[in-house]
Amino acid sequence: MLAVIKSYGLEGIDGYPIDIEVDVQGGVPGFDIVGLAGTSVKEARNRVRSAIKNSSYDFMPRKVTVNLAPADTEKEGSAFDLPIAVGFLAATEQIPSEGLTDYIIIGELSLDGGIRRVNGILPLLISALQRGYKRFIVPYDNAKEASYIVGAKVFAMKTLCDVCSFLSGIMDAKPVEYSKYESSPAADKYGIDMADIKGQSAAKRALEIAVAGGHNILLCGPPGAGKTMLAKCVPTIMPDMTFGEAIETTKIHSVAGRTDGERGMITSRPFRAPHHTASLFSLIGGGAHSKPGEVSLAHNGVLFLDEMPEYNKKTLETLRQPLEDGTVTVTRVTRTVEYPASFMLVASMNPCPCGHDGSRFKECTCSPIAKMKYKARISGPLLDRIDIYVDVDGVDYSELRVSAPAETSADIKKRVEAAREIQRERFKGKGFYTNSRMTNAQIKKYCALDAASEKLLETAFTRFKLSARGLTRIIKTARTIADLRGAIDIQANDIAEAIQYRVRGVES
Amino acid sequence: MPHSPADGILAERKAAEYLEQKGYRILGKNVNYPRIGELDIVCEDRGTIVFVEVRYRKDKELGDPLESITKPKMRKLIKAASMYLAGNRLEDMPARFDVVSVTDLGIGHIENAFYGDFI
Amino acid sequence: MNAQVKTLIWLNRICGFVTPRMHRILSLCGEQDLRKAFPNLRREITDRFGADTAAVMADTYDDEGLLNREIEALERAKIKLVSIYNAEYPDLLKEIACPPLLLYCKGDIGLLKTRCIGIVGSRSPSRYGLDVTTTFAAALSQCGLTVVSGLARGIDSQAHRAVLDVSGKTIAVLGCGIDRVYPADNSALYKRIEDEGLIISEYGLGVPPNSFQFPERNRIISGLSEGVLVTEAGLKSGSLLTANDAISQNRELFAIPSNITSVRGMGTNKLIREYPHCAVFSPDDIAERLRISGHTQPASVMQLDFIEEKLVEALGFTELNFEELIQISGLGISDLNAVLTKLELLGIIKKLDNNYYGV
Repeated sequence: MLAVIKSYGLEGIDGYPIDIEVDVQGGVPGFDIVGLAGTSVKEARNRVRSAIKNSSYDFMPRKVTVNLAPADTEKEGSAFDLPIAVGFLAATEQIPSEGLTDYIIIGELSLDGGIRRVNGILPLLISALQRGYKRFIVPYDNAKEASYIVGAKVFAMKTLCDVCSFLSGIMDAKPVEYSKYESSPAADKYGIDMADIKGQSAAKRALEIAVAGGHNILLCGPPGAGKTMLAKCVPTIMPDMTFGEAIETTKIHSVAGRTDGERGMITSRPFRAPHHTASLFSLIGGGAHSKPGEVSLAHNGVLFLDEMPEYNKKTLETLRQPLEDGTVTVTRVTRTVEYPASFMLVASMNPCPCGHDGSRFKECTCSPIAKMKYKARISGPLLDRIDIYVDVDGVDYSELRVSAPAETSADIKKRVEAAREIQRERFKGKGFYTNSRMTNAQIKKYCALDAASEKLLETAFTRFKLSARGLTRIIKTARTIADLRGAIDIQANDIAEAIQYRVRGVES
Repeated sequence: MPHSPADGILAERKAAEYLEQKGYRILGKNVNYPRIGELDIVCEDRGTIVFVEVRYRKDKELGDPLESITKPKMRKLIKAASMYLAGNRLEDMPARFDVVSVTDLGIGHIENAFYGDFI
Repeated sequence: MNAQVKTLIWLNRICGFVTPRMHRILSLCGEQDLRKAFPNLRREITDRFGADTAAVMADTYDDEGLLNREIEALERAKIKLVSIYNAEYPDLLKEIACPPLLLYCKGDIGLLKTRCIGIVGSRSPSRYGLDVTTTFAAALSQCGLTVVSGLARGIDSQAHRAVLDVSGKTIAVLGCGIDRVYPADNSALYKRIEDEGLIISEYGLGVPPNSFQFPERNRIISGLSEGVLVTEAGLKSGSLLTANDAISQNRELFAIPSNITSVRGMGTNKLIREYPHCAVFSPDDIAERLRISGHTQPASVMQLDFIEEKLVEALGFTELNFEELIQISGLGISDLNAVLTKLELLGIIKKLDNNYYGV
């Protein structure tokens, strides 16, 4: 007897349909799974066998062959347990086989016949819906995540018995109700606000500009100055995630198995802070199952590299592709997967390895060579992608006591959103919407400078020994500063302010 | 006390009687395929061919009889069973592996003791 | 190559460049050339300096080949030799207790006859230390003085650099062999001084930078100079030794006061406590003491508005951080940034680490 069940597999953050053919024959009893099934798929046979028995169905001793078609793509994961079990029951005529292919069935089985949550439901549903599949049977625990997909009829099931009763028409079930998307402000999620940070006006202003124009930023200051705190505030002044952004980000988190069960969606901008000992795989993605890395988990949010020079130089170099294209390609032996990785880079560094260079309170103990090496660890090409550099004040105790009300994240966010709106208008249909991604031609078009600004830039170019790229970064930053003012033209003052944010000291 | 061959023969006879009592039809005993393996009892239970491995234990202290069937032994049995099904044109018949344990205390029967994919 | 110089080259190798010993040996032969007089002096040398020294001297005193090889190597490395008997040898240096007998030189030996000022200081200076060094070195150089320093890290290098930047004259006195660059990261500066100034050492080819040689080097820095300026020194800085040399050699000593809370300026502040007269507040103070016509830089004519003036004035007193500048100027952050850029472009103020600004 043969039964065919429709299921769905993942390739990166996109899905593809998989036909699960279950053939039950006489002969020496056995259970084979073919079709490039990985270890985790092969292990399904033990779970399926127990789940069927424990759901009071008959696991007859038969020669069972399961084929996962297309047979030429590698499959991993436990999401095929449920369709295999359903296929077996249909093939042994314990449940009717009519109408089974109307459903995409996904789920992991536990030995008692319960259905467990699986990773990647959201990208699966989106991709399946695009291909015209409408009805889905998914684990109950994934219901929330699935509820955001309008147009899909999703049936969330708790046990194998329920699935069988439902498919046999014995039990009726209602599709999951759609949830309305609501973004949640990052300030709530991270429990932090710009207003909590005393002083640091310069750094706060620089962060505001950076977020408004999508510029990457490097914070430099001694240990304990509050670089991490400032970085953590970045998501709180970013505009709320749109539904599209939330879906994109959730897709990645879903594949990585990091969705929030309660909310189902990633609704506030992610803030990822991988430690500097992080391996290449964990940062970029890849490894045995080509999982998305930190750069992708930070998609539409912030990637914070604390103590950037401490990171492995090779690891830092690999950030160039995502910083340039907003995607990252993970190549493994068997396949190449592309993940979105469009994030804002917030990096921090000490002025020197011990952190006290230039400090008024402590003496720096670093040798000049150690200092040079420290700074040389951030390569030029990576620095080219960092538009804004800002010094963070060393701790000043008098300031910590100041209780003058500081601006809240919400206030700053309003200005950022206004500036983003201007940019969205400007770059309509260009495929990006922040100043930081302007090409040279676009800079020429959108960043006309008056005579005074030109003069200022020229003087700065010679006096501060700027590079051509350095100039470009200043102009882009000035464009954002003008946008924050709501102005159409860039003025000399904008350029002058932008010059303060040039990269200093690190490049020579 | 060590087992004598006679003990084994006796146990197999007891097992066959037991199965017949249960309504199984005995198709063969000690079906031997040289260098492949031997099937102690082959019988039929309502349309399913049953390959029975008989285990004799004086008492249960030496462990469960099922535990005494090792993976290599299973492999031998599975091969022999395939040979039997093929040789008798029974390939399409459902089949299963049972274990009957004979001890001085009585007879135990485990249906579906293992599957072809266990090895 | 005259015989005296050859003898000194030979003696340098015999004595391992230990100048006091050379002086003692030379004192035996009076006006005569040591190598000529050696056979007669051998017994006395054996008595006073040991049989080993005498034996080595006996082996090599007439070995012209060995000597010529060394001289060729020196010529190949374009090293000029100035002995204490030469006219080029600076008179001031002859006055010190144990003057070097032979100077290995690279560059313009004419500088040995100019008026010199030594500028020394800490190897790990503060921003302030570097700044005042730059100002004083440049100003003193423009007064016509040759700035002498030791090519060490920190203040020394900064002094050399500041002088070269205003096309002034500078002499670097090394504590290692004339052909060695120590510290190695100063190799670019070494080359620049060789081309535009003068590098001297009392140590010949290949002598490594042994730690005991640096205090010896210090006495030459002060010996060459009419006065020594310590711009910034910690309590353990070697430049304090130079200051002591200056005192014992009867040279003028100058020190620039530091912030009393600064660890890096404690040495200079201590000098000022011990010798109150050495405190100087401007290059003019030094020029006056050395009786050189004062040097005043014409104030640049710049158009600053009221707020800019106010900021520059405030920064004139002390370094301030961004937050304080906001309060002083009353400007918004973005306007203040713009003003700071303007002042920075005009070269009036500087951005320091940790978001501080200074003049």
